Formats: sequence, C-alpha cells, structure tokens
Amino acid sequence: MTRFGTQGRIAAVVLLTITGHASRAQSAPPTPAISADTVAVPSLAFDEQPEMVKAYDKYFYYHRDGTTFAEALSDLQECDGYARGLAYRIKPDPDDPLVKNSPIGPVFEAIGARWADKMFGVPERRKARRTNMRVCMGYKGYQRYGLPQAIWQSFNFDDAATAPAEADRQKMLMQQAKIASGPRPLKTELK
Amino acid sequence: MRLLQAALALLLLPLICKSAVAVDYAEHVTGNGPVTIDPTKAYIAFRILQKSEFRFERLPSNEEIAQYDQDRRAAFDDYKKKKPKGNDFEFDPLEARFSVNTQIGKIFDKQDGQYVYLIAVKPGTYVLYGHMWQEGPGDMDTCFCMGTVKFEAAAGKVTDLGRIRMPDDWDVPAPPANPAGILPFVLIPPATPLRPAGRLQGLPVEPAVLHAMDKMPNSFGVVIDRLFPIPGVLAYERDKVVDPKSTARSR
Repeated sequence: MTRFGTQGRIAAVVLLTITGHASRAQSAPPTPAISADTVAVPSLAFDEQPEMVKAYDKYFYYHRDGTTFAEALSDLQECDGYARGLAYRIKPDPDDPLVKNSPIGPVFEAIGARWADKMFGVPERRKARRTNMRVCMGYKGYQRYGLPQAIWQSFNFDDAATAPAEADRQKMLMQQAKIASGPRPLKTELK
Repeated sequence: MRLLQAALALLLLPLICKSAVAVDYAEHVTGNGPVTIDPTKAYIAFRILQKSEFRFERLPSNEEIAQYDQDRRAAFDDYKKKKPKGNDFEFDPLEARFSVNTQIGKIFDKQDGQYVYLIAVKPGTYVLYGHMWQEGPGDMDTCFCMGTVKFEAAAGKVTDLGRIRMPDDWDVPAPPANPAGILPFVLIPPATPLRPAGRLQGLPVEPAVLHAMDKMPNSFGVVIDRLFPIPGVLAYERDKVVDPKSTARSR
C-alpha cells in the first residue's frame, strides 16, 4: 500500500496533493433539550426514478428502529464530530522557494492552491465526510435509505467547500434526527 | 472547464502545499548487526506484509495535558495580540505532541515474508492510533478512532504487538467490510509462547498485553474506522467498545 500525495511540484498536482492544516475535529456544542415536535421535516415521499437510484450512494438518510429523537440527535452529533474539520486541504506553502524568491510567487501560489483545493480538496473532503458518517452511523446500527438529491439537500449540508453556520448545522442535524427516529421507512434499505 | 482549470493550475503554479500536522518520526532500530537495548527506552515490534507507516500515541499524564493546555492558551493569546479579530487560530492537537510515526523504509528485519519494524520509544502506555503517514493526511490515512488497543511498553523490553493485517493483504482471509464498504485493519497478536526469530532472538521480547481502547476524537481530521475485534481483547456492541477482560463499556 503506497502513500498517496507528495511534496513535489507537478507530481503534487498529478497525484492530488492533499495535505492538511493543524485542525482539530470540532465537537458540536451541547444542544439544549428540544422536542422533536418543534422540528419541521420535509416529506420524504417521492416517485423513484432510475437516475435517482444511481445517486443513492450520495443521497440518503439514516434510520434505526426503536430510537428516540434524543438518542438519534446525540448519535448524529457524535458522528458529525468525526466528519467535520477534515484536514484534506490544499493551501499555499510560505516556505516554498518559488514563493520566497519571486515577488509574484505568493500570488500565483495562492491562486493555484485555491483552484487545486476546489478541484481536488473539496471532492476529497466530501468523500471523506460521507465515509466517516457512514462508518460511524453504520456501527451504531443505523440503516440507510435513498433519496432524490433535491429532498436530501433540504435537510442535509455539504461542508466540503463552505461549512454551514453552526446554528444551521444543528438545525439540520435535528431534522435528520427526527427522521432517523421516526416511522420505519417503507422503502428497502440500502446495502 | 475543469480541465482548463487543472491545466492552468499545473502550468502556472507550483503546488507545494503546507504540510499537515506532522508528528515526530519514531526512533527506528535498523541495520544488520547485533541489537543493543537501551534500558531507559521501551521498544515496540510489529509486523506487516507491505511496507507502510503507522502512528502510535503515548497516553499523556495529567501533568502533560495541563502543560499542553497552558501552551495552547499562550499561543492563542499571542495570536490574538497579532490578529485581534482573527478567526483562523491553529494549534496542533494534543495527540500530535505525544505521537510518533513509524517510517516506511526503516525495516528492522524480514521474517516469513513480513517486514518487522522495531522502534524505541519513551516508556509508557501506547495506543495503536492509526494507519497514518508522518506528513499526512493522504487518502490512505485511517484513524482507529472508533476502537483500538492500548498496551504498556516497558523500559528495557521489546513489546511484540504481532502482525497488523492491512486491508489489501492477500495472504490471509479478509474480514467483513465496515459500514462504508471498506475493509478494516486487523491486529493479529503474536502466538504464545513467543518464539523470537531472526534479529529478535536473544532480545528481551514479551508479547504485548493488549487492552481495548475507548473511542478517540478524530483530531487529525482523517478517515475513521476501528480495529477488527480481537478475541479476548477487543469487542463491540454496536459502536460501544467492549473490553472482554472487564465489564467496562464505552459511552
């Protein structure tokens, strides 16, 4: 098993250099007790189309029988803690000789790193977040059920490019928790 | 458009990226000659089929944690003096200060087709933290955040962990995949009684006394998983880490 990524120049681009910053995965602040009755969730009813099924690996929700709203929220917050603040980020290196020795180096470095992060870092963080949530929620015994992208986006967030405001994140986690602890879905769970 | 952006990035810009949180490399025992054991150091031995890098964390004392907190506060105060309105303060996680990474090329021996690594560390209680590269993260970095093992590494002793089976090892059957469809890492403790072979012969080698280690935060921001269960050592009830040697349960 070989290492992915390098500090070389062209090779770094080609090999999707994805290094990170000194970031500690943040835990969500404690949420005051809240009733699931006050949480509004969208309808999950939809007419399944083949193209939707193809995207179920990205768009799905969690559910576990016999779970309370409080338990589901606690689980989602814990798993979100594992999945946020991911370190796959491409940033300029101030110690790079080209940056140090050229008056325009820092500008190019910054622009290039921003492009590269958008093209390579963002998808990698998105993939890693999805993996961590699936691992964590899966070990907790939650099943997954597919959704069309539009419904998924109404109560889920993608923090790979820009993290949502904390209040918005917690609101969506509560929506996910209400669904995760609600009636058993009629559709077949995803494998 | 994406191709054009990639080409522009490639042509215009050197993509030297600032390193991620890098932990210290462990002190490796390599070479070919006789091994001298430093009585003040602890030694950890493990085997892998394919060369790679792993991270071990020494569990810090309360005093060491307090010192870390103090250093972090001081660094934050300095940051605020320079950038009163800044919100990008960074400080290496606690685990970085007390972790060491093995180094892929520093082989100690080769036995039965497996690479044996031997590192010298400060005596203490160690956690097999994850499959992580020193300057990670790369896409192959995995923290065993949801369950792993800890063990004592005593001064003047070689603590033999056994073999770490990596997900794509081909010589032993693969375990079931995790909920994301990824094969987990498996720690296979050494058979006892130990029969040290090769360069380990004649050294004070003892099998690691393994204990289940509770869940840990994903402080390095990498992909997470947990070690596959180890009979008598590490079990799970859903996501709760179970130590079969006690009735302890993680939260």
